[in-house]
Amino acid sequence: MTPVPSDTTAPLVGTGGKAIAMNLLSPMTFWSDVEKHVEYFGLQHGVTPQNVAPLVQLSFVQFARWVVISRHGFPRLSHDQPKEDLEYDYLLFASNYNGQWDQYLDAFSSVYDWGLDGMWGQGCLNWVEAKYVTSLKRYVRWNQARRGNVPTHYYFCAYTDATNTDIVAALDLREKLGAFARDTPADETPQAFDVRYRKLLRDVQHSLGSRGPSPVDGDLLAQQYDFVEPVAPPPFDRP
Amino acid sequence: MPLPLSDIQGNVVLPYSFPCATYLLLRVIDSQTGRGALAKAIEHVTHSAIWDPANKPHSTFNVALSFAGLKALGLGQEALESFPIAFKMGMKRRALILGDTGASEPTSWDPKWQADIHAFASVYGDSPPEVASRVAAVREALAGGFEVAGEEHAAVLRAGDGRREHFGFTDGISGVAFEGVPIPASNSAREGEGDGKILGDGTVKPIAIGELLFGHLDEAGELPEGPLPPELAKNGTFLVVRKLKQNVQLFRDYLDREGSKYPGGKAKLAAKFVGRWKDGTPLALRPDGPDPVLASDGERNNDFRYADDLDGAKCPLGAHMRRSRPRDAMTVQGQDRKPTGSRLTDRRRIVRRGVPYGPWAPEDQRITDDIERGIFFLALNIDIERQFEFVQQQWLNYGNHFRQGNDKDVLLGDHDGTGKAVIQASSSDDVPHLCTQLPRFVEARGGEYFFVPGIAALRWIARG
Amino acid sequence: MSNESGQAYGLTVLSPVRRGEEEVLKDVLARLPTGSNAPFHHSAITHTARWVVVDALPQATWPPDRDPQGKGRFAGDALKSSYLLFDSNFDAGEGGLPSYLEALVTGMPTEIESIYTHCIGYTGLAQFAHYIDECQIKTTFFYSSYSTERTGTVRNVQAALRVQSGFVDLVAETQGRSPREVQDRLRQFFAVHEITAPVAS
Repeated sequence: MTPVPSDTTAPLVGTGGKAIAMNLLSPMTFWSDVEKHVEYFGLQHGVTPQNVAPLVQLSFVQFARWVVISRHGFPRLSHDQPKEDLEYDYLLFASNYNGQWDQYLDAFSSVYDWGLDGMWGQGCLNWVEAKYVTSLKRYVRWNQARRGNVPTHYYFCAYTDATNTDIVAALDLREKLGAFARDTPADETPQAFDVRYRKLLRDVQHSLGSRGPSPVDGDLLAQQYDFVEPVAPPPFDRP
Repeated sequence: MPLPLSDIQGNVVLPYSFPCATYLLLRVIDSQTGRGALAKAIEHVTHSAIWDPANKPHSTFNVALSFAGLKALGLGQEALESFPIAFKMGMKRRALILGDTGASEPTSWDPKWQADIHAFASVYGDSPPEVASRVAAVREALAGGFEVAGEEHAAVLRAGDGRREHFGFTDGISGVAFEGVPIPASNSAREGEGDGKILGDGTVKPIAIGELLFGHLDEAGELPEGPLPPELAKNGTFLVVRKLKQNVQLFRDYLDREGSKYPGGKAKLAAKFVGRWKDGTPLALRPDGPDPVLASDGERNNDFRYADDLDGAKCPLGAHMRRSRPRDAMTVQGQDRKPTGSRLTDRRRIVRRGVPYGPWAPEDQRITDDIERGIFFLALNIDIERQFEFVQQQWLNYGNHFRQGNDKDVLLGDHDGTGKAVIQASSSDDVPHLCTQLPRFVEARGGEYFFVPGIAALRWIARG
Repeated sequence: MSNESGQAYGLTVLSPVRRGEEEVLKDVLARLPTGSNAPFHHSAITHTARWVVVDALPQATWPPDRDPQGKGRFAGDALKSSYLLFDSNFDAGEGGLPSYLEALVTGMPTEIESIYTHCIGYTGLAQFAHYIDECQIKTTFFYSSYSTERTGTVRNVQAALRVQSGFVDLVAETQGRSPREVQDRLRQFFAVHEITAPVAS
């Protein structure tokens, strides 16, 4: 009576350990291409008022990039390769994050919707304010690298059992242990050591989590039992 | 706009406060007789209402349906397909997400829970005879259409000074405050007091009712996507039922052992595991010792924050209560650099309606854990994956969001004997304390996901 | 240069795929080892990397059957070729991009060849750096969580993760022991992990 999955070989976590890849290609109108270059330049150099503090605090994005690809920007390397004739420019977004797709977007929609609106809002077609999480998810699903649901064809992450939070904690611990070692006097008495060690423990107490495998991905588990959610289109803008 | 209480089943927006419960696990005999029996039973279903002592019923009856049950009742293909995936899969298939591994695996569940349950009937009452009498009436109404595959009994535990659960902690303090839900005059807690969402400025507001009921706006300002057609979903919600066995002696032994090693002592260690002292005093307000006056004050015992304790000195970052409801512990710098309060967690709230089962064992009595005792964990939410499963998988059985790595909740984690918990230093003289080799204190013995239709929706289902 | 954030480099490359070879390329990518057997471990300077074969662009406007005025015939751009997207976040170190590409060519030559042989304009490993230069798209905005500091290299992160696991065990084992015992244990621990000072000094 316990149900058995039809496919017991499919993986229940992605190939990146605890890191997951997302690729998004968003069509943009021409003027926004120019605007985006200016805006991102400002963001990179701390000029624009919006800030990326939530990205840091949420701590589940390891790397992310925004790349403006103009309609003429797809490389043409041979005369035999047909010339692309595109109506739109594209914003490529590639990120590496921890956790699951839904929770990632839930978090951004709830506390960083204004940041997303800033990055995609001006000029990306079919964008709806990110606070409306259902349409945000539809938008992302639809624009993930090609129509419909797309797997990244190959994904590598150097760390199999560490999240970004684990890494930041481990790096901090290493620095504090290093400082402790460097500041250890020769012939330190156990009593003097104890005072310093107790302080060290308090200073590193947030870096003491044990690591382990990623939680099972609900979407992958559902697929094992042949449950797949269809991909619904976003509300389209008028032409 | 006031909520249509007469279309919402009881115990959903306003909690029952009866001491006794019986749960019937039902299977549909065939779709036609099943629907006929359901139609008859609807007349007995209790809806939400505010009772004053004069008109309060002595017992209540409510019914919820699983996906297998809706299918067995002959619900149309399009409607069936419109339900969310976790509900369609059923709780047994979600075992790897819930941490139902080892002793909690579905193959080890109580036999009556291993078969597909189609419907979950709950009867609450003032006393065992009242409950039994209502159960008899329900059985009669459902006869011919449903067979009873199992019966479970539960009762509020009154021990010492109040309501307890089997590990000895005071239960029933926290709730969820929703917009538009009337507060009965008998309830001393002011609306939204500690039970709502915490804004960036520290004030508390009620949560949008769409986080619980279909047909109403949710915290994202949207109408939640529900089963189709809309009349099936309206004023309905999802019910998570889990029969959880508590290994009480194992817990007491572990506390004795670890409590002797912990500088703060056993009682404090127990409080650090949970986030409250045994009498219910929250650590966030009283980190050094219980305060019985505060603990029994409904207006104050749940009104606290974590944003001033981000290091976990008062309430550990991995404490059970903090994991299940992080409040403003996850505040970030939002738009215009303003703090976001509890916003990251507002859409992960669940409404708990659980009741303990099994005999109470006084602390000084040595017992064996082969006697079944524990809790019928019942939780209501509109989105099983976003709310219940997320809390279970990402916050209780995982620690990344709280800087605890993969460390699990001491009480509910699916421990295998090798895990640990860190209790952060309580002061600048203290050091972090590690509790290692955590055993499995709580085991799943059964459970399922059910849909709790509104009253009109029940009629719609019965019509076929 | 917006490709970089501190010492981390975010490389974005789009390479046109030879007509008719898209499916073969996807097979090659599917068979490439992942996890601890991934070829990127040889060079040990890549934090994350991905390859995506982009066959089509997302639909942009009203699909014809939903357009109320019959004007939206244009339902989106169609690519005439597929493009292989390569996105890598790595430690730039002293040598920057050229030295990274050299490391890939040295560390995983067979894999690079087996992938890029399906791309238009690729002429072999010896010209890989030049090829990537032709195909590179400048990253407009790059965010990196921990690699902004010198300490956040792949090697340092992996070492720090090992130290962290070991230290947690040490704390658990020495809890409640005498200061002298703890002092000795910690001294041994530092020796084993070669910890004498912070990495960023």
